[in-house]
Amino acid sequence: VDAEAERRFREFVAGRSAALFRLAYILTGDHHQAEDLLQTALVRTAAHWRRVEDPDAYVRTTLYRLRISGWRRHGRHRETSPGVLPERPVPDSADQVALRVGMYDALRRLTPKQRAVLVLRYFEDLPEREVAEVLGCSVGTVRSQTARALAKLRALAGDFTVEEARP
Amino acid sequence: VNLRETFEFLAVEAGDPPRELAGRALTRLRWNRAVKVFSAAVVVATATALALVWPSGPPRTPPPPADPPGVPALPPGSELAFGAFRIGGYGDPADPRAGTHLADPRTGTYSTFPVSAQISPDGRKAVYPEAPATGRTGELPTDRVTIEDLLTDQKQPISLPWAATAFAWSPDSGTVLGTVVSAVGDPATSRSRRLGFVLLRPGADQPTFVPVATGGCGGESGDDPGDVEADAFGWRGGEVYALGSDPGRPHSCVLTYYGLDGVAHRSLPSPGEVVSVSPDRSLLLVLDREPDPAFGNAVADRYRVVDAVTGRRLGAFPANETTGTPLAWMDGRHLFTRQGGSGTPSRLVATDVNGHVTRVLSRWGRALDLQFIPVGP
Repeated sequence: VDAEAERRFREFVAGRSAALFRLAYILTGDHHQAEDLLQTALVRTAAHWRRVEDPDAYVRTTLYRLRISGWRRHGRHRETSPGVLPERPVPDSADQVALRVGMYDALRRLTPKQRAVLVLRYFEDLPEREVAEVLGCSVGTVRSQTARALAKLRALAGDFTVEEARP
Repeated sequence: VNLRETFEFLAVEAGDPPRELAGRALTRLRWNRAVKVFSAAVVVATATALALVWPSGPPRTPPPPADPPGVPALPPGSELAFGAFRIGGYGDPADPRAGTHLADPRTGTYSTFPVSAQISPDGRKAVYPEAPATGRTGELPTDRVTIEDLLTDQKQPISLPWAATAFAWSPDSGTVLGTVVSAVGDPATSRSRRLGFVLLRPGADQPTFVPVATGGCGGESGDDPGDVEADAFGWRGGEVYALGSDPGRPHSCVLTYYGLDGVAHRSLPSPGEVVSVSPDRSLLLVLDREPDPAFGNAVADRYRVVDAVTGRRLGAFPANETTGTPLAWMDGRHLFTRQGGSGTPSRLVATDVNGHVTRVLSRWGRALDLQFIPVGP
């Protein structure tokens, strides 16, 4: 990595690290794992920096693929429940807090691939075809993984709502 | 509680990113490269030593043959038929709303079926989930399906006792099997999990539910129920299969074969996720993961061909762009494999049990998901 490339890489990381760290945290639910995951993705990005046309898209795709490829399968950290939910402009009721903690717990029980599919479909709002491209799998796999993940969430966390995702 | 809001909560909870991310990434990259250079030197030295004591070297994988003239296009450009399969196209990247492309038995030309449909081996019938008001089908477990006669256009809607997914036809085109993943839809037991399968018969009013107790198995949380899966060729012996826990070792998986009455026939230690059963039911193509020594502690997807009874490994190859993605058995020795992939052109080839290309089956074309329809019992 020459000096100019290093400077541009550092600028990119400085500008996008907050958003990328949030995504890594949503995928892992653990600060240490999120940091490790993002760090690994950034190393790969730096290694291919000259050929990367859209660094942000490249890092995001790498985050997803690393996460579902069994990254840190050995000696992985278990995700921990948040002790305190983050503050919101309008406080949740006690029931809502309980439901949300239940959702956190249920999300933790999904496989990395199931969780990644849900994040792409219902948080990033990507259509099935683009989800398949990000994860490097077929559209059929995206559909079946989504179905299994939602069924599992419903079995574990009871009622919750999802917006209509793009086909 | 809303799923998107839950993710947004997590985003807020993430807080500030760690400091010096770029600097640490660059340091790690330089260290990795130093290790790689050292490893390469070791490999060269080892190869040189091997060449001295083994002049002919290890056997090399033969290069894939060039495209022969006259190979057909991928569906829906043309209908493909090889051995015991007709091959249809499923989904069109240019139009995500498009459903299944299949050869119309009345005209012999390709037409687009409007939803995610499974075509019967005799090509006469299709089963598909009932189209909801949004027009989206096939993603969620459903408690209403339709069996349609493609020759007469007669439709038979069927209500299921439990929401099911992953529908598959029996080889005689007389029965549809659906996988039940949970008791969704039952208010009394909405949080319980019931696993099994439903059998639907064209013309019959009532489906049959067959429970299969597989227990938890594998997965990140160790309680993944595992799905009951059917393969048209597995049905020739009247069997379906499911991954479940080993009673003696709760975190280990076993693959159990069940009769259509839900009775377990036999089990073997799980060889991985079953992708396809060979036409004579003697072999399984499975997907497994194992540590990749070339990349730290990451694991790599790897396909294996194993004996369906004993689990003995008969072939293996990595899952990557070079070898392609094996999709289904072509015959007792070869696999249908797709080269290329999402967003890039792909083609269908035949490969042996070690991933070597033996025949090119289609031209390069659009990357459709392919549906393999067994022909006849």
